[in-house]
Parts: sequence; C-alpha cells; structure tokens
Amino acid sequence: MSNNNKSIIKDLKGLLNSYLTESFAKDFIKVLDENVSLKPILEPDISDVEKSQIQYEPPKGINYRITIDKVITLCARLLPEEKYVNLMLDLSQLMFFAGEISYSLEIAEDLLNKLRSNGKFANLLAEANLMISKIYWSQAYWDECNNFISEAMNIFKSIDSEPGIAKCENMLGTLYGEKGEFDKAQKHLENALDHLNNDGDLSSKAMILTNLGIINTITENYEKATWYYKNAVTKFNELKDFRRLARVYHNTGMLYTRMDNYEAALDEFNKCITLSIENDYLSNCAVAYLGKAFIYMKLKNSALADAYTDKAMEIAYKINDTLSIADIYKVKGMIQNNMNNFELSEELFENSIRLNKDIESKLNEAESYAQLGKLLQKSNRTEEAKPYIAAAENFLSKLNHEKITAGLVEQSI
Amino acid sequence: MQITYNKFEHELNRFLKAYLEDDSFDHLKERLDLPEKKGDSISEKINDFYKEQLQIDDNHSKDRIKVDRIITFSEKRLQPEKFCKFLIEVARVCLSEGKLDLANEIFRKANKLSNDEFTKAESLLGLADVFSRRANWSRSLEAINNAKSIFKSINDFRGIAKCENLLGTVYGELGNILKAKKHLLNSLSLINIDEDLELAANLFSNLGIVYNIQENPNVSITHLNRALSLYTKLGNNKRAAEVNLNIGLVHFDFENYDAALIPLDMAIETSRKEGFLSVLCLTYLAKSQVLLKLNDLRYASEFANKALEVSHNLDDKLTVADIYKVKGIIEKQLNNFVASETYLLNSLRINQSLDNEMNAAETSFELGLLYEKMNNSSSKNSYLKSSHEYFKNIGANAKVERIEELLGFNSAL
Repeated sequence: MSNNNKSIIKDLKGLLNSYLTESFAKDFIKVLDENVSLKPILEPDISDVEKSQIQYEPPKGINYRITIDKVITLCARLLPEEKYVNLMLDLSQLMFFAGEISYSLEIAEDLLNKLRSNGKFANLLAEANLMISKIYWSQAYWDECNNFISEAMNIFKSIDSEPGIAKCENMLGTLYGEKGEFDKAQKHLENALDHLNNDGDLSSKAMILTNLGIINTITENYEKATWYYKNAVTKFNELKDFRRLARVYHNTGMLYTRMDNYEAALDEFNKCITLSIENDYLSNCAVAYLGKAFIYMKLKNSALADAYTDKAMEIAYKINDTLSIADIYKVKGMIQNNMNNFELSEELFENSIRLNKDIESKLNEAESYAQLGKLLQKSNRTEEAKPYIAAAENFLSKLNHEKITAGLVEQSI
Repeated sequence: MQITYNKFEHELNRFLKAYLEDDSFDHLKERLDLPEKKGDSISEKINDFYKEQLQIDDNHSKDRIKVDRIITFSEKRLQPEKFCKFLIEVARVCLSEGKLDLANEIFRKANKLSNDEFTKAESLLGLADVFSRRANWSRSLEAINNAKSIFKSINDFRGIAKCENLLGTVYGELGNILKAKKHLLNSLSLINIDEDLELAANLFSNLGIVYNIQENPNVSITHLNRALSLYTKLGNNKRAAEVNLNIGLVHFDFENYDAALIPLDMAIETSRKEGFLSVLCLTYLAKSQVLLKLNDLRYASEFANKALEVSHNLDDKLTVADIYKVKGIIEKQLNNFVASETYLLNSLRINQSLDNEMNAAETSFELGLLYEKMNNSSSKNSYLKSSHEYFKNIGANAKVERIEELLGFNSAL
C-alpha cells in the first residue's frame, strides 16, 4: 500500500489557502505538486557500484533496538556498575554512528540521569554530557550542544582530566566549524592538541587532526589538510576504527573536489560509502552521497546527480541532519540550473538559504547566496542578483575563500 | 540450530566480549539468541485482512521537501507575524503526523522569529507537546509553565485552558491520574463548550481516558462518545480515529473483546488511509492485546512487532515500553518464560527511567503473574506488592482486589 500521507498534504494545502491570497495559493499548490526529482535513472546508464549505492536500503532501526534494549536490561544484572555505565556510553555511540539518533539520545540521557543521581564516576558523567552534545551538534541544535559541552568541560576541569578537556575543545572546534566561525574553530582545535600530551589518547588525536584537516581544506591550505588527513588515516587504521576512517575518506574526497580532482574525489567517496554501507554507518552515508552528487552535477550527469541527492535526502531526513538537508537543496538547485529549469532552481536555492540561516551555518549560507546570485545573473536579473553576490562575497572574502564549492558538507568528528 | 549473525550483531558480540566474562557473555548470548515461537493462528481465514492492515509506507522524506518548500515560499509572501502564526499551524500538522523532529524545528523557528506574546506562548505549547511525546517530562512541564505565564499576562483564558489540558495529559502519562483529572477539569471550567468545540472535544477525550483508568467504563464511554461526535462534526478524522482507539481500549479493559475490535478496526482503517502513524501505532498495539486475549498469538505477535517498528521510528518511548510488556505476555502464553522475563524487564526498565508509574505498575503486575507461573514466589510477591501500592493510590479497586487475591493465595501456601 502506498498511503502517500494524503492527510499531511491535504492539511498543508488547506493552510496555504487560508493564509495566502487565492491566486498565490493556487499557483504555488500547482508548482508544489510537481516533483523536484528527475525521472528515475535507467539501469544501463549506471555502473554496478552506483546501482548498489543508490539501491542501498538502510537497516530498520527497530532491529537494533530490540537487541540493544535486551543487552541494557540484562547487563544491568551481569556487570559491575562502572562497567555497565561504560557499556551504555558505548552503545549510545554505536547507535549514533548507525544513524539511530533519537535512540542514541535516549540511551545517553538515561545514563546521564543514572550518573547524576548516584554522584559517582565524574569522568563518565562528563563523557555522557559530551555524547549528548555530539547528538545535538549532529542535528544543528547549537545552543543545546554548547550547554552540554560546558557541563562536560566543567566536570573534566574539576577532576583535572587533560584528555577530557581536549575532547571538549575538539567538540567546541567542530561546533564553531559547522557555524562557519573558522578562526574560533581553529583556536579550539589547537587548544585540544595542547591538552593532549605526546603519548596521549591516539583516538582523540586522530579526531582533532581530522577536524584540523577540515578547517585547512575550507581555508584552502590543501597541503596542510592532506597532511592532517593522512596522519588521521594511519591512526584510525592502527585503531581499526572503521567508522571514523570512513569519515576521513569522505573529507579527503571533499578536499580533492575543492582541488577539482574529481576522479580522486570519487574514489575517496566510494571508499567511504563502501566502508559505511558494509558496516551500516548511516551517519556517513548522506554526506558522501551528496559529495558524489555534486561531482556528477559538475560532470553534467544530471540524472545520476539527482539520484544521489534523493538517496542523500532519504538518509539525512532519517537522521535529522538539517545541515545536509540544506546542502542537498543547494545541489538539487544546481542540477536544475544546469538543466535551465530556473524557476525550480531558484526555489531550491531559497530553501537552502532559509535552512542555513535558521541553523546559523554561515559558510553554507554564503555559498547558497553565491549560487542564487549566479542563477539570477544567468537569467538576466542582474539587479536582483547583486545583493546575493555581495552577501556571499562579504563572507567569503573574510575567509580568503576564492573557490565556491557548494554542495560540500565536511564531516567533523 | 545454527545461528547466523549480521554485521551489527558481530560488532555487538565483539563489543560485549570486551565487557563480560566468558560465562556471563555465554549466558547473555543464550538469552539474546533465544528463538521466538510463533503461536498458531485461529483466524487464518482473515489473514489477508490482517496483512493489509499491517502494510504501511514509512519513507517520508518527500513530505519534508514539501514542508520546506511551503515554508520558504510563505516566508517571502506573508507579513512576519502572520508568517509565525502560519509556522505554528504547519508545525501542528507535522506534530499530528508524528514528525517530531520537523515539528520541533518549526516551533523553534516561530518562537525565535515572533515578537508577539500570543504566538510565543503558542510555540512554547507546541514545543511542550513535542517534548511530552518524547517523554521528556521536565522540559515539557517547563515549556507549559512558561506558556501559561505568558497567557496569564495577556489574560488569554483559552490559552490557559490549553496549558491545563496539556498538563493533564502529561500527568496522565506519568500515571498521576488524580492530578491529571484536576488539570483537565480546570481546563474544562475555563472554556465555553459550545463555542470551543475542538478544545472541548480534546478534554472529553482525555477525561474519557482518565475515567477508564479509574474503572468507570460507562462515564468513560459517555465522554468518549461526546468527543467523537464533536470531532466528526469538525471533520477531524485523526482525532476521531484516536477516540475510536480509546473506545476500543475501554471495551478491552472490560473484557468485551469482540466489541473492542469494531472501533479498533475503524481506527486502523482511517489511520492507514490518511497516514496517521502515531494513532496507527497505538491501535496496532491495542489490537495485539485483543488478539492475545482471543488466543490468536501469531497475529497478536505480528501486530505487536509492527507497532514496535512504528513506535521506534516515531521515537515514542512510552509505547515501546508498552509493546515490550505485550510481547512479554505473548511469550508467557507460549510458555517461553525466559524470553517473557526479558521483555517484561525491558518494559519495566524503560517505564522506570521515564518515570511512568502507571505503566511500571502494570508491568510489575505482569512480572508477578509470570513469576507465579515460574514458581518463583519471592519475586512474584515483590513485584505484585509494588504494583499493589500504585493501584491502591489511584483507586483502581478491581485491580487491587485481583492483586490481593494473588498475594493471599501465595501467603496461604
């Protein structure tokens, strides 16, 4: 059965009719009924790799839940308290990577309540706060993210945990990075490195290096970025941490995209997707799909680019990754622009701008402005284009950002 | 039987081995791998009907695209305050469809953008509803109280009545029935029933649920029928389906199983057709309970499993806990006591972590019955006593008598 959510569409159309003038509502409802996706791609036109990636069906979250709920219930009787709370933290992390964001939060919050009431294990209490900050960060809830980092930082400071402080600094770096405040991000990431001594936590060090790689990619210090990523790959390989390794591959893919080396970028995205699909690390997939969509858009393969954006959207929606959703609209807008479908392209860029504004993602907002400006210029609406171009230039010039590479979502760790 | 593990289970096994001693690990695996028996169906002839009832479409990323396009379009065309009111209505539609993340995002946007007290209060009330559906009681109560203060400051009695209604539902979910009833009656006293049909219907419906919990089926049905006729008059199919579900539950609680199936099937029919996933999920669960009583264990299990899948996707933790309880009862009926115990303990753990006293008491009661079958009288007594205390406090006399009978029988031994 396909219920197609008749009710929600009917209700929303009813709202449009009651709030907008009759003609606006009528015209828009007509446009709304048109599909923003292209016709499904014909099978002979794609490779086996692409076919398997596009046809990938994420596992059903409930299958994770049934097993993990049992583990949590039964291990409460089998494990000593400290081990048990550590296990819960690891399970929350596992579900985070699997894209089961709400469930990951449920486990972490349950843990936090337990730790708050028993007053023991300060280190783990701080880690639980940090875990929750990461969950909010992944959904672009910056205020909540920041509050939980502060809580974690205070606890780590109170117990003089240098590795803990380093983790908080790393998290602050990723938070500011997502918001497009790169100077602040760099400063926090460098602070993070300072708090780790030489023989410190290898995993934390690799994470910080990856995030420094992202900042250096965005600020076009490609050599430095390459160095950071290579270092991180070695470390994650050593740790057999394939989830984070997949993320570094994705980020390396984006670095190559910015360097216009599309072939090398596709290789990296494929490495990321293969590893992520094999292990059902859903949170990596949406961004890597989007990375591929961007390249196919650049290579003027609109059908394939669109198929990848649709798959990215399906996953980003499932994991409530608003930042990626905003970028998916941007790439969809660029695809429609390539096809000279200016009206829909404009609407999709506007969607992207609105969402980026809502989530205060300045870099992405600037990149969407630039795309909309270019589109308006292309359709001979030069005057209308000016404010968008100016807003984009204003932000990007501060970054010394020469290249606009819309549609790229770096994946911090 | 040879058990094959998927990637996730392999990783989880690796993970658990690091935490558990060999003996404990083997014990846990034994319980995790326990195959579930399938009950024989006594209703094969209506297989197709059940199968059809269980089919739903759960990919809703396309709805998000429509909602985003509608918001972006309307933001450009509506005056700011009118746009904020529009946002609240859109968020309410999303909320009623179970799209909690999207509703949360839109209510937050309205709250941030609006300078109007009424709109701010309405957005807070919407957020409170989102939090309560996620069983985040403290944030829900905080948001309701903030909304209530604003409504009071602008002398908006209807707004205050809405806050009282939501307070009633939150306390109801927490199992504090007396407090819930007090808030609902407060709310009813603040409105003119003949003028505010929607809110009146909500209140009659909620009071109907409260009277059912207090074992007063006739008053409960009278209230629910009143709500049903108002919703039908208003053309609110979703709420009408919800009331049918509750009427079914009243018949179920008073062991009138055939009568229960009629409104439940009506609720399933409407919810499937219109895509009301949150109502559908609860109705699947109710139907599972009825089938269980009719000893149709196979389909009871099918409906419970489907309800579990939907409730997990909706992040409806309370329902997840309730479904585990029903699954525990099904396994008990199949004499699969170990699996039954695990599910019931899952249910108890989640209900306790969500502070849901009533559901925890009900699960404790079921654990008592299970341990009686397992001849474990100390566990039986301990769980029955804890549920006895709760039911006595809320005045559920029939339940109290039943527990006392069970405890008395045990003491006579």
